[in-house]
Amino acid sequence: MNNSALIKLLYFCSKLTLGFSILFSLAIIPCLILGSFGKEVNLKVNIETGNVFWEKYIEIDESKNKLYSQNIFLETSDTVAKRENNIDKINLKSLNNYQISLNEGILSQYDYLHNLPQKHRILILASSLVTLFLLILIFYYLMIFMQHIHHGNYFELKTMACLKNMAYILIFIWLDNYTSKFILDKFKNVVNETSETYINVVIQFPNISLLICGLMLWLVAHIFSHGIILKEENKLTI
Amino acid sequence: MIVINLDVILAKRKMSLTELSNKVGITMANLSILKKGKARAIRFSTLEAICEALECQPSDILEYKKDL
Repeated sequence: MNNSALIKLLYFCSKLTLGFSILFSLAIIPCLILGSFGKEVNLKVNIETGNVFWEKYIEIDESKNKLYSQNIFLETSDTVAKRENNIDKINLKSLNNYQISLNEGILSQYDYLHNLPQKHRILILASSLVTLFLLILIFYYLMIFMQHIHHGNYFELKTMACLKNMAYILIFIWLDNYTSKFILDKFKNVVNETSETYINVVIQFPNISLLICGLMLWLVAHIFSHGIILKEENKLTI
Repeated sequence: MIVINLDVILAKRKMSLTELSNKVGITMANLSILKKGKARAIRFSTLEAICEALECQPSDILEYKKDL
């Protein structure tokens, strides 16, 4: 397959993707709205990223009967499938002094949208709508970008502007996801007012792959834009 | 701003743009860009060739005017 045929195919794929993203959004938005108003819909929500909760109980002060625990979050997605309903903590197995368990946060990680509190539902709806809109916008710019490439306008400022717009949207999607996750975390009541006191050492970094993608894309577009300006200047130097 | 007085000199010398293009070895398109003042920069070699062909000084072709 030669290059022009590949570009033609990619252009067609970008148009197809835009169409699918619009169709997908049109299908999901009514479900999201119904779910946010408390109607029963088959929409499961991942409030957080998949984490395994490693927990080590260290009994420090026996007289006061206080238990201290050290928690380290590690990424996983398989363990979440072992969830059981209405149990605050499930100990899966013991490994020396360590216990692999799922905490309350993970148990509530996957839940039906209509079962969530209203605040969460509204936030998830708003965030999802913004993300869907941005998704359509990013595929639109991808289509325009591929159109320019298809027409042979490789080194044009308008082509690079599409790339820059895509980069801004990627960064915005990351910001949107991160802020909504941050707000959801704030809503959660993680402190247990019991006789047990927990010291939580949480190692949990936000997923920055989207941010890095966006920044790299912006950088590439910026470098190319500068190159295009230089090319224009060279062209107009007699 | 820098104003190009190429058309004035050409008229004084009674020379067409095509003639100048042939003498200097610059394409008509590039000379047209220069004449219309759309050029961003001019090489010394080009200026030298034009001055030689038109028997004039660079100051006859280039003029500085204050922006209003």
